[in-house]
Amino acid sequence: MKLWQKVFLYTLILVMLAVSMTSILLLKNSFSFALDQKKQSVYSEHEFLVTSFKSMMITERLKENAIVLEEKKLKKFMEETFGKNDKGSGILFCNAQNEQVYSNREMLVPAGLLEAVRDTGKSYMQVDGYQLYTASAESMEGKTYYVVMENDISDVMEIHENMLWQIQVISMVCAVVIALILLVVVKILLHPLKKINEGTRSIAQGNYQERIPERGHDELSELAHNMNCMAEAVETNVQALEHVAEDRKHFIDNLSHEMKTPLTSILGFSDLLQIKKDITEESRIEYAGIIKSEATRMRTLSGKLMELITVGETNLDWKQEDMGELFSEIGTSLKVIADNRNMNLACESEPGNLCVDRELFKSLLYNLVDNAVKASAEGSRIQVKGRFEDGQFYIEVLDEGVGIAKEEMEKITQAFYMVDKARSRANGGAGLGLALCEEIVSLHQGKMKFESRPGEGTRVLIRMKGGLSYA
Amino acid sequence: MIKILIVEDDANIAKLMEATVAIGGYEGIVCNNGAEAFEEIEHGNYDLILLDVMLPDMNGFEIMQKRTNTETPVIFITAKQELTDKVRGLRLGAEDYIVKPFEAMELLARIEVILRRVKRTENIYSYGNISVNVEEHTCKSNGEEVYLTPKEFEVLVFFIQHKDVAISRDRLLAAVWGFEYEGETRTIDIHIQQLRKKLNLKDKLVTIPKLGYRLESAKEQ
Repeated sequence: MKLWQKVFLYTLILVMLAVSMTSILLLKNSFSFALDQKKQSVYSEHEFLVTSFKSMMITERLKENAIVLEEKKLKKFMEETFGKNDKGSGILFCNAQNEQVYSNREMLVPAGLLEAVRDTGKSYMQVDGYQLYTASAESMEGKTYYVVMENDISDVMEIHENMLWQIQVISMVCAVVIALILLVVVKILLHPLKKINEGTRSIAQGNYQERIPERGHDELSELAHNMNCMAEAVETNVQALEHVAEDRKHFIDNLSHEMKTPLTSILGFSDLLQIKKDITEESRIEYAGIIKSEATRMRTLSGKLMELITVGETNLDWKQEDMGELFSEIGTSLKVIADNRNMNLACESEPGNLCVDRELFKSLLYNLVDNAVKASAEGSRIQVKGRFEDGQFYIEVLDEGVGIAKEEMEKITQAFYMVDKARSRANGGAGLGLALCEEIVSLHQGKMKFESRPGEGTRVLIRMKGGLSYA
Repeated sequence: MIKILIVEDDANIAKLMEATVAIGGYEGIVCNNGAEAFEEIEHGNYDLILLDVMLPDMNGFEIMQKRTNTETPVIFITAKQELTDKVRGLRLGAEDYIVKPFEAMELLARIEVILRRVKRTENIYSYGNISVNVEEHTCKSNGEEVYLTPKEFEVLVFFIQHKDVAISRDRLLAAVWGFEYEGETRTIDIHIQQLRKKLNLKDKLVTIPKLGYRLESAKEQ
């Protein structure tokens, strides 16, 4: 059963029970009140009758000149006094032997009534059908007589029955009206639940951007809100996953392109060498040279790629290294590259300890300086500086090269992105250097920033956490 | 001479393509930049264009969309091997789509097919005292007609088109019988023997060990 049906049914049953109980109780009360009143008046009537009959009997005694009236005389006197009467109250006299002495009409005394009077000695009232019987024991003329009165109480009973019927009708009408109102109210109250249901189903089907309307401040709007939070979290995660998948696809696309370009030349020229009959010495040397240089390019690419892939996976050797020493050591090996192109390289750092992986750190500086060398003209200056400041270590690589245009800035750390493809290739670049640097810096919990002006040079600033200066 | 525009930004690959088309006897003109290539396509007079997709300044797809000179057939030559790229390239009106890395003979064969389709190839080839008419499907040796089976005829034409080039059995199978042919390379040997016998080419159509066959130039006769 649906929730709205349950709520509706249970509420309806409860309300109906409450209404009927109340009305039945009220009816019962009012009926017993009316009956009591009736009993009171009947009782008074009974007393009045007995009292007046007794006094009339004294008069009769005087008139008859008898000390005690015989039962026969009494009966006669009763007949004279009350006569026969079908309307009004029925009156009946009985002697102690339960024999009827007189009645003003045919009366059927309910069983047990007289016995009850005799046993208790008090007057007694009993309802039988639409009749109210009042009985009392009176001592008259030295004997005990029972006086029974029969009064019609059909008016009270009829009113009671009428009201009972009315209440039933009213209850039915009420039930219908309440049911209708309840139905509308329950539907309105549970409407948000339906919306939540629909929304959740839609979200579950993959419409992660779908949101459930949040109205009011009740539990349902809270639920809707929480559902929305969940959907948002799912959406963010899915987007992140999609982003990762897209990045990966992009990477693979680029990789396959970068692999295919040298491969095409290698295969093509070796094919030519194989199938052509006459090849001039000149072409043979040229073709072989191209094959060799393209193969070298592939070797560089695969080497860089391996480095990039394994950088995060290999067990890193974290050690406190003295930056002053490390920088001068790296400077010496980098000087060879700079000297080849007549460049002035300065590589120095303030002394102090920093926890790094020596090999990765070397690779980082090597790649940055390699980039600077490739971007700069012969005879220009390249500076690599390290310094400790505010508990952090800063590395700065400055060159006076061609610089990087603003729109290129965001893309330069992407794998395989090359600002100038032709120049990069001529220099044997694979477009992976900065991607590798970024990976290394993030492994050292650092941040890398580029500042550049086209034509004037580039400044790379790296900030790494921690570090202890000797200064 | 048939002129082919080679649009390729990698200098080595451009050189390779130039050398390859030269084998087929075509003149290759290299262009390494998208925007320049667009100008060349619009205003130059070429018989065929070999177009790379990833180019500086303007990519190959853009060039295809913008060009107004749609007469010249285009073959895309690219490293992008996804089906969507291929479909896109062909939808834009390219005649063919070759994925890098490609083999020299494959490129030549595809160029040949397209040039034949647009009727820019010659109909009559001659080799020494043999002359072949592709249109009429006839072959004459010393003015006398020689009967060749259709496959023998196609093999002969293929060799004449690629004089002095060593042609592997697989390549020949692919070119004459189609890429899906799953027969034995032995079939080739039988056809070659027939050709040698019928046209007296025993010294010219030479076997190259471990590779295939080569038709030597007639000049040296």
